[in-house]
Amino acid sequence: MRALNLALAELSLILAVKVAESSPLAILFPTKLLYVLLILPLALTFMRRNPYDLPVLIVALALVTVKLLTNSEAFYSLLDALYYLGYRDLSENLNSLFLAYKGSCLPQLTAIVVMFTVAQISWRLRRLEKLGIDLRHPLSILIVFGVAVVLFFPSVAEFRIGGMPLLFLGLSGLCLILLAVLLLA
Amino acid sequence: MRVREVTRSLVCASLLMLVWGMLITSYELVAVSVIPLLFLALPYGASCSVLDARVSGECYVGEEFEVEIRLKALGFGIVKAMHEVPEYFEIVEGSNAVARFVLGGEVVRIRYKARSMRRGRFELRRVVLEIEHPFLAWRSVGEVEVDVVVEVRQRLRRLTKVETVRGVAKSPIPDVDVSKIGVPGTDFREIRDYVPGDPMKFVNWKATARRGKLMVNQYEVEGKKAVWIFLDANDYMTFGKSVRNYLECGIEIANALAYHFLSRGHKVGLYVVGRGVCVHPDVGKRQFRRIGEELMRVEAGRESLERAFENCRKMIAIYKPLVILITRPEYSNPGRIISEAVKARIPVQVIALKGRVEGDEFAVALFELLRRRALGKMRRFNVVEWDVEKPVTKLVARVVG
Repeated sequence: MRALNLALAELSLILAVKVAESSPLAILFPTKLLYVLLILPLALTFMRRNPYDLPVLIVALALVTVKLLTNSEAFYSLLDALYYLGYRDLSENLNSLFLAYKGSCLPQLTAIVVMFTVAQISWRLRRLEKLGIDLRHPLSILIVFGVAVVLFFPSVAEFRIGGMPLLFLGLSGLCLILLAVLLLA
Repeated sequence: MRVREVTRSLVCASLLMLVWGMLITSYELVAVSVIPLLFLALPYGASCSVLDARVSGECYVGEEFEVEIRLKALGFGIVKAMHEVPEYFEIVEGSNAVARFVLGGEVVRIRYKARSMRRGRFELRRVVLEIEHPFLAWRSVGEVEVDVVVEVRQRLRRLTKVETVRGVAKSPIPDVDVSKIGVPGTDFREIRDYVPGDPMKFVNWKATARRGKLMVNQYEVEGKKAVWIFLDANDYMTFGKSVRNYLECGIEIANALAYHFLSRGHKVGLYVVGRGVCVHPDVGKRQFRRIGEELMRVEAGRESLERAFENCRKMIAIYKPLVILITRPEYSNPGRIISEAVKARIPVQVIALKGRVEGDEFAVALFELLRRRALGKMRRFNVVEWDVEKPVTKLVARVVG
């Protein structure tokens, strides 16, 4: 289980670094140096902790965030604020830089989150071994479910009806049903 | 409800991504925050029914028996089943708890060998079920009922005559005594006054003519003397370990004595002081079974010896039995009762149980002093003192002589 989680953590970090390489960060920072972060899961392994724990996910998300900023309304509004405050050159440069790298990284992000989730669950599944349960069955279901999410989630998340993402519409509907049940109970 | 570890970590990760995504207004990050929740939302559930349950092997104290229960589990998830056993059971092989991953249908088998350290009738009807999410996110608890009843008896100690106790008073040995009541035999005992109800065929006409009033012949009745065992089951008898204490030792002695006297043709009765349970004297194997069943069910209670003897006074007067009293005299103070019985020409044998008392040295010495004083008061009666830790067979051999 430790080996599986280590592999998932390393794969996630490699994916995150790849996303960072395709982001404006590649212009500002030598991204090859980011591969040093691959030591983090190994360090956690030596500390007898889960190699793919929350700190590793935070690092991976931080790397992906630079790419996510290219689509962020909040980021562009910040650039507008800088422009308004007089930092026009900086604002314009950053704007042109980020617009050049604009694009989606949803498949990679999905894979990172799925791998994190699989690692968290599989780490807890270890205790089933002590109870005499063969781990192959729950683990294979977990992996199959994970692969299915990686394959289908980006398509579902990007699907829109009337300009609204289908995912949000579904979630909103679910929330409304739960609210109705709560109010009628 | 306690949140499972995996649920907590996934929800935390999900919230982190949601907040992060909202701060930077990233649709991708907000969207992927749903993914950990998708894993938690995977439906699960299983229903269990009992296929069969059996207990095999002789159920005696300290001896092994086997329990096997088969459950049919239908559904999806991890099914954990645990057969609840009393604290007196020691599992020597296998386990009373099993866990299986169920996908569709699966037979869950609980099989274990156990040893009971205490006699009694144990109804082991509860099988506790825990249905867990396949990713350990949630769990639900339930139970099913199984028909498993274990009757654990004391193993009967075979007696070997070793020595005869001689005290101040002569020991009443029922082996050579005869019954007070029963079917009249042919051995002539005495001539006595007629009382209404005597058969006319027993009228001694010569003696009647001589005395001028109706006289009848009295014959020895068939059968041997009755033995009535009084087992003290008051709270103070339970002092000690739950598996070996004064009460357990007393039960073992009562069981062995009942077998000994019944196998020699005596009528044997039982009275459990503390619970008010009375088995009237009778003969035969059925009586031994009856006494055995009562002994198996004995639990501690509260009743004075005076009250117990009062309850049986009429029957004692009829049978004139050998009364064997198993007790702790330092608590029960049977002196007055015994002297009353002796006055009524009812032989009494006291088995005074003693055990190791642990604690402060002064307290132990004081307790020993009180015990000796209580025994001293009964010196003129038949008292056998016995350590509860020692094997019962030797004590019984001393009692029955």
